[in-house]
Amino acid sequence: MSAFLQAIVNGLMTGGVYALLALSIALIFKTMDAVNFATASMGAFCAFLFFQVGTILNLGWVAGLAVSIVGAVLLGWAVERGIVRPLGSGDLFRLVLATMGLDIVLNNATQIFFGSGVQNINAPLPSGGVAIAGLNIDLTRLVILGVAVAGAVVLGVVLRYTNLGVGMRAYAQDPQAATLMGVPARTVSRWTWIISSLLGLIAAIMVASVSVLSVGFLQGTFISAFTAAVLGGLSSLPGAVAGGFILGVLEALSIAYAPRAVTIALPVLIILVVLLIRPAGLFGRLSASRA
Amino acid sequence: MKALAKVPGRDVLLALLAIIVVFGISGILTGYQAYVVTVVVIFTIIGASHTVLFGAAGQPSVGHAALLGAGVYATIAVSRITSFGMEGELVAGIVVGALIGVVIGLPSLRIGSLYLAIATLALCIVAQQIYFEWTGLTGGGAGTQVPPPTLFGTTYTPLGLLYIALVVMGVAMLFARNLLRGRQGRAWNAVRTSPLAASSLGMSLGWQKVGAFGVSGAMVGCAGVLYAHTVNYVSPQDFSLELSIVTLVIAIIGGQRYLWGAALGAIFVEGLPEMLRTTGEFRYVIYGVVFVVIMIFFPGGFAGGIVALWRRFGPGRKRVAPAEIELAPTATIVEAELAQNTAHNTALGGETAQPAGGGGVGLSIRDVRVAFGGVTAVDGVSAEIVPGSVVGLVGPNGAGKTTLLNAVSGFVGVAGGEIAVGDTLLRARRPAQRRALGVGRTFQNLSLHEGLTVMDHLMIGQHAVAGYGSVSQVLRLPPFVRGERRMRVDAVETAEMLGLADLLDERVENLAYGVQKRVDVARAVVARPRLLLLDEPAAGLTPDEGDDLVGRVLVHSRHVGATVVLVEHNIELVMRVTDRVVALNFGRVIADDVPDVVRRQDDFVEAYLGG
Repeated sequence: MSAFLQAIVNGLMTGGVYALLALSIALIFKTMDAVNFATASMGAFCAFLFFQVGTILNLGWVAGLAVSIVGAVLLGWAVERGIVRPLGSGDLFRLVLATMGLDIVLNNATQIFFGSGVQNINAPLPSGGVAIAGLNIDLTRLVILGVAVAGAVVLGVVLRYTNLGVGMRAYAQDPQAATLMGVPARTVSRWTWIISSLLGLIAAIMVASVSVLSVGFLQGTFISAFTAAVLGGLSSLPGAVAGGFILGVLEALSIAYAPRAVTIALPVLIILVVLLIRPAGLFGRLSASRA
Repeated sequence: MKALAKVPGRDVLLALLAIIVVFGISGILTGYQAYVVTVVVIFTIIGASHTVLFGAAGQPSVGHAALLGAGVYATIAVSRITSFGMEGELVAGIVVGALIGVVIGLPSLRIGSLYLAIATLALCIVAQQIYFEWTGLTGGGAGTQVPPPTLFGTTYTPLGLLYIALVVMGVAMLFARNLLRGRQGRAWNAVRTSPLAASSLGMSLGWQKVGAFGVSGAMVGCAGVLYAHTVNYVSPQDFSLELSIVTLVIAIIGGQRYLWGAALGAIFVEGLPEMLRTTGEFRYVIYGVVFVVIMIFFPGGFAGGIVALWRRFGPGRKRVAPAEIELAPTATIVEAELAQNTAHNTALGGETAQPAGGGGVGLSIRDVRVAFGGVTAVDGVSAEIVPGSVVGLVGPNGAGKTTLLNAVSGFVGVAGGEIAVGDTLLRARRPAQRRALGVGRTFQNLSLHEGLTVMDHLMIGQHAVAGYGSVSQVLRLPPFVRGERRMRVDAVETAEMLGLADLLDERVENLAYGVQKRVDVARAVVARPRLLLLDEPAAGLTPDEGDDLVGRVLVHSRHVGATVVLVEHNIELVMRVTDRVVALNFGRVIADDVPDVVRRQDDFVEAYLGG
């Protein structure tokens, strides 16, 4: 029983990071109708900035965080301005394919700038564990879970209560109608990418804190987060969060109880099952253009 | 392309010439250079597989690394288990690739292309995991050695392997080219550019994609055999998502609409960097940037750009600016025909006419109900439409006319009642299956195939009556030759009938709206449907143009004896040309009689003219 509960707790803590990155994916999908295949490499690039400034240049983690946040904002802005906007709307797949190209560029640019070594990110997170009611709780992972939940809550508040957020939601439902009602399409598009980029940065720093920093280190998490987003319906933000936690728990349970092969294939199995049984996911709605 | 198309087989000769040139210079290549050329050849085949799947059928796949791995491991299995050389390995690679391709494609019977693309991503990851775990065959993370290439007992050097690769590529490209040119390729293009119209013409969207996946998989599978022997040592690491993306990048940079574009893409991505000895990450950054730039500014890729330049500056270029192409309505010719129709119309009196062609089929609609959520768009409509008659379906906006047509052609489900074409109840038949019963239709908002010519549309319209299968098509057997010839004759005849004869080589997006309307109608009538559903053919046209178009179509339908249901807002036109008029309002039939009676009926006048 306690092993079961332990698996659930572990799963929820991993799920937080999935949820965060899934939010980054779902936010883009909701407004752009496209999957951003460069999600992981964008986040990873900025996490390297954090490391470079904070550890290599030895300016401390506050400076590192500041620079990496500026980097994430600039990167999101640049991608929107340089790729998304020139591509325009129309063909659903062009943007998806362009993000694949961007992924190739960023991955290799990361390698050129920061080298192909394996680093320790040195994020200022507490370490060690505490035992609560017979369960081992890793402090680092607990903080990560807290950051992830906080990130999701902040995003929810922004979307619900700010002008920009309401505009983003309106634009996601019907870009044309929203534009006619005075929602500034360009601003919405720009901030969607910037916020998505920031979410990617946070997720990247969190993942690097419990593993290592290396080129492509976020790809595995991206697959999981993508699975979580598909599970939640791709266009649903609450769905992405729920999907993240569900996947985290399922993964932890399969590590505890199922053969290794099941754990490895879990994301793919979930994607296939969701696509075949309920392509709209748990929370999503199937739009005509995608059906 | 037009210039090329005029001489059948000139493209094949050019490709052959290119292959011979490579043969010719192969003697002076160093071992490393021969290796690079072989890699380019392999990736040309893989790129061309995307030309079929993505360029023609419109389905991007990021699962091609899995297919390549399948070809590679099929090779290793054959070489270990059997005594066959590449002759057996190629068969195995093609079969395994095609099978896995079909399996990946099967979900497309249920889900749309975006979700299918996601499924290919999932496949790519799971396949790589399987390759890692299946250590007996793959050697796991350590990889495994591939035995040297043998063919019918002879072992070949790397240079010999290049020759084999060139031959395999030539055959694979010819196979793809023959599939793309003809019924199958037209069907894929039709499904990509307008799924709605394609299904009304008898193409099953899902199965077309499954077929494209199978063909694509077979091509990648045979590339896998070459790949295994070229690199000698394979490891599951090779078959990553990145490799999948690279193969797609090759097809798109080269131009995914043209098979030879795959060769340009492969040279650019795999060949140039090796030849120039550009090492490391910079090469990937460069082609990543080139890819993004091409996506933004030249969606047609290298080949698309070359073709555009050729069209603009090459010999035989058109001087007519697209905007100048406009039809003058030939109202006078048609007036006479309309008069004849009116005479026919009164003589008919509900009796079946003697058809000159295939003959019409009756349509009976019995108490049909269609509901969208809480809104009942069609509410218990019944109508008997006798074979060979022309029936007008009229009513104000929102009366349920188009919904009723959609129910007959299968685009919306029926909540109650029965629809029968002839003696056949339609029930749950899909749109594509209804074409087999002789149902053809036009679309209110056109649904044309962008990028294709008027001739293409006329050929696509005959998909269900081509009279040959894909095997005949690939091998260019007599049924294919005969079928294509007959379809071309019918296409030209229909084009002449609708005044499109001079525009056969124009791409539809360059045509004026009135002409596009004609193309839409031409595509529906060219295969002589036995029941033709016309959805507002005159909408958006000038009265003269509308009369002209409807007149021409009806003359044709009378000639072949087809049954016609005409939805049209121009009430005068409907009254003049139909045998019977069914008027709907709020989803119910409010009048159903010969035009002259309906015209005088009070509730019809009230509903239609507002009292």
